[in-house]
Amino acid sequence: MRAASLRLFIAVRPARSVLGATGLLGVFTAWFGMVEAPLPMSIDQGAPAVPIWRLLAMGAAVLPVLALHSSLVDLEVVQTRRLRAMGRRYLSGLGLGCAASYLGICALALDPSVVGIIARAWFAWFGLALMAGAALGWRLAWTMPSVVAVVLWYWGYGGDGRYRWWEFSARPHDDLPSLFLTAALLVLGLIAYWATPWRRRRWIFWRTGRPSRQR
Amino acid sequence: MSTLWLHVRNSPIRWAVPVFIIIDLAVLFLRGRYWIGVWPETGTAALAPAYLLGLVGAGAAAWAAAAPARHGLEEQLRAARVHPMLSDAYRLGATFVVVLLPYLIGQAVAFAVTARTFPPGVHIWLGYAVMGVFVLSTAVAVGWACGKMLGPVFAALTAVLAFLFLTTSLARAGFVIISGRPEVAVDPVALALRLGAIAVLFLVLLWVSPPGAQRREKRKALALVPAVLPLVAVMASTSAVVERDPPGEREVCINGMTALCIWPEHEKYIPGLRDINARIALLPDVFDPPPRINESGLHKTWHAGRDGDVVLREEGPPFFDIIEGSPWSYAGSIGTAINASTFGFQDFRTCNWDSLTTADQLRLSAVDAWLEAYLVGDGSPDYQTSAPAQLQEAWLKGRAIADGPQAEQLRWAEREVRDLRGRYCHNGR
Repeated sequence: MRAASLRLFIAVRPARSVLGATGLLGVFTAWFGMVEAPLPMSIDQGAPAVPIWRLLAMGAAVLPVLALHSSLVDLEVVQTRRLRAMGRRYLSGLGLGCAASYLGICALALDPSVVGIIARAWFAWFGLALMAGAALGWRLAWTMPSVVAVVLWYWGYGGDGRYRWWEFSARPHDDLPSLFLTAALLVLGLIAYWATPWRRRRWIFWRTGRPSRQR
Repeated sequence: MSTLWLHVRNSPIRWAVPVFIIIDLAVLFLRGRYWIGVWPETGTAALAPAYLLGLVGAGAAAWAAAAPARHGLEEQLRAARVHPMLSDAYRLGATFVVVLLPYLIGQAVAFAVTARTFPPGVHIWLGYAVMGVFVLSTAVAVGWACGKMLGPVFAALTAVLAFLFLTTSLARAGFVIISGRPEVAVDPVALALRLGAIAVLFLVLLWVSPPGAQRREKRKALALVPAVLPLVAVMASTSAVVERDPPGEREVCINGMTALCIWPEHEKYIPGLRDINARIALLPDVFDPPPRINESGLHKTWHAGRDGDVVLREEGPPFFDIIEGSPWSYAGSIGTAINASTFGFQDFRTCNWDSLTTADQLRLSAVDAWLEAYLVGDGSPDYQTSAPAQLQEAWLKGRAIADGPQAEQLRWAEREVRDLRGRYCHNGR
């Protein structure tokens, strides 16, 4: 019963295309990941080029959030607890599946330290995509990650071969500030996903002291 | 016009305009300000946001292109009295305006900031400014194609990644311009060809209707392949940025013991170079500065290269570069040129520098570092180095001397030059 309803749930969502696209992006990253893009930076002198695995990781992390979009989105606005639970299961399953397959394919060809950075950045981008998606609609989940990406690539390099502490997509894989920042972004993203309109309403009533449920 | 304005006001991406303007102006001003007062640098500084806006703009264009499909309005648009191609053209035009407007505002602000001093060479700024229009047109074309071909869910992300991929793969073909040295400029013919090719692509994009129900219409999308070919051919065969002819009589020279000559576009640096020239005049007689030092590109001539290609080579007097307006960049090269002629590194008849000992090499380096710091006047270098520790120590020693009283500095320098020349040259000055 549960499997059948989950199948129905997936039927109106682009899960299969997302898995396929993630695999494709993984192959692309493994193959061309070390090619460098000469994007402009705020520091011209001695500025490094951006290897494109940093750019592709963003795309790969946004994909599973885009897949939350359903062709029945207008009907699902009034979703029930069961639908919501299925959504959670779907997001976690697809997210982890995408991350595992993407990172797995990358690990075949790229250096482990680079894969470490990609893995960290993936979760940060995922959190950002969740935030944008929750605020603007799942199909616009790409907006915030791409604007943040522009900020990171342009201002993230601090000169002298180092990146600023908040450049989570380029700092070494064992860097603590980036790890904390990534964790924070992921948590914020999950909170944004959790903060559905009815929960937000309950918060507001709780703060203003009015009854939490109106009959 | 009012129809276009109506579409702009109702464009699904109109809310992006303020965000794009903020990004553009932030990219322009939250960086070094050396570009202010030099037209080529102003053009490239305001062109930099185009690549970043292009990234987000491609996604936005895809979002706008997919709007009819997203709202399920394709059939209505097709059955409307206005030809679907025309209504599509208005939507594309509105998208173009929304993506282009922030960039043009950025260029206008950059223009206004440099126009206060209005140095020569405003046409070079115009070239870079129009180049940005081409970059953003490419972004809109990529986004529009993705929005029409793919569903509304993946189109935008695909467009963002596609524009990135395009930037990376076209970087070698001169698509990405980061610095505006005065010796290069945008080639108007190559730029016009690019704009023409992209206009053709836009027309074909409009003709290719969105993949609808009929299979016959889907085949039309194949027309995009030949439509892209002229653009690819133009980008492969012409280069957007070309070397300029040397300025000849228009070059600006600061006369003195050594004539320092620069491109007229760099007139902003005349006061700095005049200070350097005054300091050169104060050097002890034992120093022998060359009669003339040029900015690079002033005396370039074409030469037949080894592989039969033609290459530009710097000729004549020693030269310096002005990098990011940093006085350290040109004072360093000028100091090196002065030391080269003072110590006679090329004077093989009277000097023999092949037998230079390590200790003396470090003393020479100290003199080099002193002269650089002395010519700049004050402050510490704004560049990083990965030189060996011994060498860095010698540089530090030289710079420490530059902090002392001037008379003492000059005495020290004279002593060092006399002593070193006495060891390796026959006729010590």
